[in-house]
Amino acid sequence: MCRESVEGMVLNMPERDEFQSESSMRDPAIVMDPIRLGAMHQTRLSFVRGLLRRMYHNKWQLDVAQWQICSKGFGVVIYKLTTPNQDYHLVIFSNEIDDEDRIDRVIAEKWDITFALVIGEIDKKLLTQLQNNVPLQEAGRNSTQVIVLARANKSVRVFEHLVDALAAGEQPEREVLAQVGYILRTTAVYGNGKFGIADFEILQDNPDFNLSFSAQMCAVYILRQFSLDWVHYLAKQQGGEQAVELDKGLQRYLGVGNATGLGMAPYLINHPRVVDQWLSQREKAVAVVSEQDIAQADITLLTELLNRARTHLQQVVTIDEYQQRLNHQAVLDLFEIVKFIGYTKHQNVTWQRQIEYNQRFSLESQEVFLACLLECYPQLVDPLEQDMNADEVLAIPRGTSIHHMLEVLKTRYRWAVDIDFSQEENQYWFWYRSEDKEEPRLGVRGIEPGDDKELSLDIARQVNQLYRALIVEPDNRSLAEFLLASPQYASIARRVWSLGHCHMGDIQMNVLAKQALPMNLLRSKLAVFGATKFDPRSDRWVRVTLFQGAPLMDELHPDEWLFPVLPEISKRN
Amino acid sequence: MILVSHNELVGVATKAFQGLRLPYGEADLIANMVADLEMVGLHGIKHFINALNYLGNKNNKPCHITFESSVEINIDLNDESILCHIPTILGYISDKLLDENSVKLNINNCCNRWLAFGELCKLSKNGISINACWNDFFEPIGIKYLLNSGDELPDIYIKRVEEANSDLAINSKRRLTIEFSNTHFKLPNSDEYQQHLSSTRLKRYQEESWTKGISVQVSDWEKLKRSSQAILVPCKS
Repeated sequence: MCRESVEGMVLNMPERDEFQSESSMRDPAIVMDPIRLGAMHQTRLSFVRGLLRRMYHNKWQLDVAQWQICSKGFGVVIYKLTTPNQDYHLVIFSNEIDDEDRIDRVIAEKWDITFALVIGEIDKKLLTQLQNNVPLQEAGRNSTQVIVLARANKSVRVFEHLVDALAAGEQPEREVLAQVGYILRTTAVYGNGKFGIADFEILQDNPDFNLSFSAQMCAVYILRQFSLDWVHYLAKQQGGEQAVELDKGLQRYLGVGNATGLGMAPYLINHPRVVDQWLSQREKAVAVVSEQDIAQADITLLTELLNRARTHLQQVVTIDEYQQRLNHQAVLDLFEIVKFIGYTKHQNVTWQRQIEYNQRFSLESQEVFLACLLECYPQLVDPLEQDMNADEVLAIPRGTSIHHMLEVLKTRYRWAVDIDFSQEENQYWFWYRSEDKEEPRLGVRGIEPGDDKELSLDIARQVNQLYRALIVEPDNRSLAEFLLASPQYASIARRVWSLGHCHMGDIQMNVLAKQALPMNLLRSKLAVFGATKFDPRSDRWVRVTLFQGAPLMDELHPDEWLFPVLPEISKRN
Repeated sequence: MILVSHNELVGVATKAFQGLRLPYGEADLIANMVADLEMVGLHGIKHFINALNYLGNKNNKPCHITFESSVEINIDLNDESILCHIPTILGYISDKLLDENSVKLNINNCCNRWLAFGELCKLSKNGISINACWNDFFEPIGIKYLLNSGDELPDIYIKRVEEANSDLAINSKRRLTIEFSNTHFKLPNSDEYQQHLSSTRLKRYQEESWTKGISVQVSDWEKLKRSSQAILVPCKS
């Protein structure tokens, strides 16, 4: 990032020539298309990947500091995480709950597991404080020593099956694991000041967790280790000497599940420069890699990854028929893509040629290809992870005229300017927050109550209104003067100017439109986190897995672990 | 007292403002104005709770602007809070300073002047020097924020205003006078003031708010949270 100046006032904005390959970055109209965003997959730049590389390079250590679990699996466990800079502790409370209380939505009030990642040592006083507050989650209060607060529920079927099988000295049915892919699934992982915990600001100078969401991802990664240690412990309790440990390959195959609903969508709309930064960094990676000669590439690795992706997609279990069709089509398309690579590898061309060729295939397969391609160039891609944090300022520089603003609207916001908001289907939905734990929800305008309390997530509509207000103004009038007289446009004007000068800018989606799919927003953020195995459970919430296929704590490595596949099935293939 | 985080405060203040459903005002900026003042120990939440009374009147009008000269501007806020208007006003003044070396702004009939703090700090960080003065409406004190270009935080000077000497006309107008300049202001002699809150002191308080959390009265926090619930839609039965 560097600073652009318009007649005096400086503003953090990307400079057009700061990166060698920006000329070949894809058009924001392509990248920020919500349907394409809804086809994204984990890449090397995803947060889980960056975290594990950092853990490996800096030799982070994980030890069990306290294990007080009863034979039924309830109690307290503390893991100590040691980095070259600091000790941290993940404090886990395992609670007994009734099956009917096991709800994945934010409105739940009880969970199988609640946990907190804490900076520094845990003394008796702090442990008591955590014991009194962490299990309450939103209803508790925590100190700034806590940097992550989260909860998880069991996959009862996998948990019980694993404990029973291992206790009996047997390995579990692989199909049971393949159906789910995790023992525990998180239902919320809070960071950045929620419920009294530390603001992200104070982690900015912390070399371990200065990258956004890295502390949250680390807490989830340690939870994965706990889930394995937990079933091993209980199997041993139950089976005694005959109990065995889970096969290493299957341990690796199990990640941590996550259930994500509509609540994630407002985050993406309310933090546009964060989204821009994530997508711009990814596009810089795509751009620089697309300029590389195919002839000099590691085609073997790429085709291996693409074939693994095909197996992965075939193994994904989802109840969503649309996602099933997308996965099926991607498997077919990827076969064609691999065939074409066999042809182009002998040509004197760059990957740009292959990316253009891929445009005839489904978005899922195009995105899979990009994820695999980036894996082949770690030396070009990995440095970009250091710049995933965003400056969230939205501001208009001094001296901006209405003419300047109209240029931005015409060049970067045509997708919103051209929407006819007099058509009912373009303002079909309204977003609101429910009294139920402030959960964000969607309502049908004019039919369901609450549109008088509509959330201002209607970016496309506001942009449209701003454009209409500006086109009747004199071109050379100062924008500041216009906003003084019409302050209702101030907020959207700041956003348009700022995002209009970012590489990728706003997500090009009218979230009020009848055909709008919030699922696409959820998927894109989860992919940036590094989620795999997308399993939409409705058009409003999705189950995914984090760290599935990731190396275990005692075998950390910086290499790829893209597109996890069930170990034995992959061998058969 | 309760310790809250910056992000929590910004979140609750944003919702509280959004719950008013006003035609003007930028919720994210306003919430940060509240947090910026609270973080340095100057009671941003109390001022905001007070502001919610004025903001709730829903008589919002664009501000009325008149010119004394090319370098002196009067703006009438019709007894509204500055919260909804100060960002756009400062944007306008910033443009003016491209042509003029200094500008004097008189904002008349405005409320919640303490809360201008954060927006003025942003402007000084961007290279403009600021000298903001007003007489408090409730107490006989005069307040001065002084920020020279590049300053992150102001020096604040407070002096008792003798009733006999106070300019009642100015007080009754609830005026906020701000001088903006492209060159530095001379720091006043702090002996002339009863209280001087140095930028160093404010910075120390701010850093502690980040690391330990912001200490807030439970009753104020509860009031703020109640206000933030106005945007919530009752559950369907």
